[in-house]
Amino acid sequence: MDKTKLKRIGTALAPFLGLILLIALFAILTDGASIQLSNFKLLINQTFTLVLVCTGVFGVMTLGMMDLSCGTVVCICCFMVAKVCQVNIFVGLVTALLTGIGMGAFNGFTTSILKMPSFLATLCLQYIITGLMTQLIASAAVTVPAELYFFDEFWYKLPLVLVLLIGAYFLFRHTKLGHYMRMVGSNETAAIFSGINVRKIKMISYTMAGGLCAVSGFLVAIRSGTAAVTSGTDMMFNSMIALTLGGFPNGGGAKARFSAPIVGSFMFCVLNNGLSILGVSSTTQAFIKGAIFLFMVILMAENVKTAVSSGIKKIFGGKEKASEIN
Amino acid sequence: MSKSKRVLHALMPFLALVLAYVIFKIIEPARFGSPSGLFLLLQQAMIQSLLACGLYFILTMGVFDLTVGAVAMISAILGTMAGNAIGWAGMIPVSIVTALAMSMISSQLMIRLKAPPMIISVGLVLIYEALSTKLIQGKYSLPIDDEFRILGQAPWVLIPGIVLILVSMVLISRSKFGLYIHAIGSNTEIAKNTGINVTKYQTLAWLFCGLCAAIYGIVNTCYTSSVAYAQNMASATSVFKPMMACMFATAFRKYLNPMISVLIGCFFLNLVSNGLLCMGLESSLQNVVVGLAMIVIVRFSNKSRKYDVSK
Amino acid sequence: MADNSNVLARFENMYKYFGITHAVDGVTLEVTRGEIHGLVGENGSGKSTLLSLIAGIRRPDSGKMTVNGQDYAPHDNTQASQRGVSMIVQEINTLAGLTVAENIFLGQEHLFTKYGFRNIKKMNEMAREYLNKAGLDLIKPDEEISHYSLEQRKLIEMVKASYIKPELLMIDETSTALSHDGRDEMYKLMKDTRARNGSVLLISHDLQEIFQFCDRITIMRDGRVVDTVNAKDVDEDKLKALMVGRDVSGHYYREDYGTPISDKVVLRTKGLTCPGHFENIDLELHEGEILGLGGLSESGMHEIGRAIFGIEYDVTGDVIIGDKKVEGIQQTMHAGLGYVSKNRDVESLFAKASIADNINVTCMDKLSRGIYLSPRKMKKFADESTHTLSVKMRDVDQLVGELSGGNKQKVALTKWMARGTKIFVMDSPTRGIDVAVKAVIYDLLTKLKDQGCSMIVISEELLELIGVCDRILVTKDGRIVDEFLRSPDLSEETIVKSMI
Repeated sequence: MDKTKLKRIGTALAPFLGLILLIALFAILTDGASIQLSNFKLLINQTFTLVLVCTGVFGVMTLGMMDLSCGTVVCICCFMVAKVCQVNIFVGLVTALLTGIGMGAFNGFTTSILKMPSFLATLCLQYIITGLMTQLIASAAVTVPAELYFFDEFWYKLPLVLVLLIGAYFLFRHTKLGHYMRMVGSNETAAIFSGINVRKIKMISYTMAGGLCAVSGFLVAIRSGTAAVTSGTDMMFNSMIALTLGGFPNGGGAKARFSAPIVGSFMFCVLNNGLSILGVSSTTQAFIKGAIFLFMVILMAENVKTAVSSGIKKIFGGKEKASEIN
Repeated sequence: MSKSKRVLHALMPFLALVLAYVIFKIIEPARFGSPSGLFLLLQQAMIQSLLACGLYFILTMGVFDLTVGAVAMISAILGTMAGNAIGWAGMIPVSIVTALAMSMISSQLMIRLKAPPMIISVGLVLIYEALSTKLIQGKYSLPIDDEFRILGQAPWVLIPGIVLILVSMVLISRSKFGLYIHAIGSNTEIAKNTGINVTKYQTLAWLFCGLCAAIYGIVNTCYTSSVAYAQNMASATSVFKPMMACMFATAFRKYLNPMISVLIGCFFLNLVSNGLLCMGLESSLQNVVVGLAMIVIVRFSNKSRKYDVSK
Repeated sequence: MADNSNVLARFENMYKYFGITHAVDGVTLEVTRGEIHGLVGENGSGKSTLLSLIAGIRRPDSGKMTVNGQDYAPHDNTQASQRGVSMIVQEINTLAGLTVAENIFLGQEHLFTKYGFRNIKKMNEMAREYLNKAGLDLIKPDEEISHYSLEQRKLIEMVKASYIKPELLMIDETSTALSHDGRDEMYKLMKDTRARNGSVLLISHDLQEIFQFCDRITIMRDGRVVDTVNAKDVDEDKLKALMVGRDVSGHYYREDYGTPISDKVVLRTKGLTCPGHFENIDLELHEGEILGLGGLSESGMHEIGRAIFGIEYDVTGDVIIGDKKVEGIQQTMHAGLGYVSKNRDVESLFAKASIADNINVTCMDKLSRGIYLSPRKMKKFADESTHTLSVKMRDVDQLVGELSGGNKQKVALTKWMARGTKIFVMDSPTRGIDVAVKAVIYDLLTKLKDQGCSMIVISEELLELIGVCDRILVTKDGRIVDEFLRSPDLSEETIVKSMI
């Protein structure tokens, strides 16, 4: 098998290998506590909420844009579930979904029609929602109607999440939308010159991200039973960390793979779970996660990658030369 | 442009202030606009201008650094700790050195790494905010010893602001440094061809911004008598008001020294904010107004055309 | 022949490559004191690149430069100024947001700066003095420069280039952007420089201007110097002949003549106008025709191509494909039009994506069944498409950025062909490409013609247009000024006469 094919397979498998290594690492560090079945079930439950948001963010970041509002969109949808379902379950769920989609559409509007830089546009939305939530939830949290708790079962949540992920995978890999998204992220100018309706693609991506955040908000609501100002707000950072762990290229583009949000979310939750079992305080955890994120970003920067690979070539090239002399 | 037209344009920011005052005074004559209240708002504006002055230098070059708020916060935390332990001789050097070091990190990573600068910025904010929570060790905020609080009271609280604004005014309009910052922001290619060392001046601007952030951190901590940690990009969004004041200053650059516009901008925003508060709009709901205002302002300062790329 | 003591500057064996393109290919040039030296040549002859090397904006790949007998290797135009070399270019080279005086002295602040602080009063006074000397009394040094018109900004640039009393003043195509008065200023500057025993290097397409002022003229072609002549020894025709007249080496153009062109019009423009670029363009493209668009690079022909595709701003007038008026990329593509851009790395290709991705990006509608796309089918489709032009690659998953220029262009063409494009607008299709691939592309044009496709080829290379097109339209100053039909007697000289 020639070098490039090997390289390609390696790049595709790397995140999975990383996941296995990480699971193994924590299995050792926690003396096997992390791979107990009960813990594993907890782990997968935690992954459900993250992987949906992460997939939404993945779509947006494949375009080369950012979504700093996803955490707060989860929060406001969680709030909608809690508050409006008290009146009527069905209406409440629909309202939550529409809220998420609406927030996403707002992001699409500010970024693609008003042409604001995405980090600023989504940060503004985040700021607006934070203000609204602080006001509406005041000091006490809002409780989720007990009728919804039945859904908080592994075997109900799993099919829901799977259906959404399979749908997202289908869209990404088997429709024009997914391919156009990668191309817009790769070179937006060339995308315009190839006839891609970039505005439409951006709008759809952000709206879908909003919708996925809404579902995640629902899952957060029924798991915790309350909607607080902090519900789900750490998901924005967590999604970005998960994506880099999953091998997502820094600026998105053609090399983005769907394995990034899936494997990355798993890796993040394993990391999170493992650190918690080890008793690491939450502040130190945040610091470690941030450091890992920055480290991965630096590692995947263009000039660092070329420096590292030429350094590796030097080392291995030197070895070959030595064997030739012998 | 005739002299009288120029003077008129230069007066517009002041007119906006007066207009805002008049409008809110009419709506809420009882609660809004007392002299002591206005003086308080002026003090707050002075403090925010400390940060905005530094922010102006990097915004002029088209750089948005989300870590500036975190730099102010961490340097204030470390400065407070040093101050509580040793006194003034500890607080000032520690916070300035911290801010400069953090600015150096941000600037070099964002300039030299071939990766999207915003992602690096977000990553740094994540680390810095986690660090802030760690430093404050479980409490909500870190109080500063009483001896320092005098800096947060009039008239002492106004002095750093006045000094820094004057210094920045001179720097931006009379120094080679200020000229080159504007040149780089106008057209980096031409600036480079003329021999201007773009990396050097970008770094210097960042360091100056860090210095301003440190001073802002200290004075603000003395004013509010404690420094709090931040989570979830709160440090970044806390910089919105100074950022808007800077954009406002850029728009009036031709007629008024930007540092004066920055002060007026901060004062204007505080005036409106206070007015809305008097009308019953809670400060958390004001987020909505500020967020929407930011969107509108950026939209109008944006010259993007249909096929331009913006990420 | 000039004697050595009178030589102001000497540029020896200058080379500059951009990838495969030899922009400056072994140029040796000598400028004597007190002369106005003209530099003429077609598009791509290397004149501007040479000047940018002398001005310090670009670094030569090899070569030696001396000024006043001493080595000269500037890294930016401030260093060049310090040795008495300054340049005025055609594009805007002043910075908005800075005042007139600040622009004039940009890079030279040491003249009035102490401890990092500028003495603005002194700067304005100095600027006032120089502006007055140049006859620009009405321009205020403390005014922000964007207050002034583009022409006035250009005049201010001239003040910037001349206040240091340069020994060598270089002017690149500046007069075309100026009005009568502005041009007079420029000529005065040139004469003053010569009177001071300095010299001027003047690039211009206006041959009358060249003959009016130049003492000697150097003709460049394909990155090399053809000859240096005394202005009084030649006339306009001789000059034009020296500018062109290559050997038509290799029969890789079309060999047929007199092939009839269908009457059916597939694409038409009516009154197409874009302020500042072109005006009232009415052209017709027939079925199976290869229509060429030639002219100087700033004549508007490139913008016409973009406007037809639908990507240029502020365009009025109609583009009609078949019998339907089209506007914007979505509509033109839907009507079967494809656009091969001049700037392929930025506008045609996705460097960090695979060849397959690049080819498939325009073919998605064709490849999808309803909403469903099969990646395997896509890869196979792309692979088959690469055979048409024999793209040299490892496999269809290779990143386009790793390909050579010629193969990149093949991919750019393939993506439009694979789509089933019937009407092509190709801008500089063989720019920066080696001879072998050029032959393949010319062959492709003939093949497409045989299949009934129609093409508009925009090119700065006249030989290419002559060799390949059924009809050539010449653009000048934003208008179509002439038309030539394919004929074995058609020569570069004939076309150059209308172009310049």
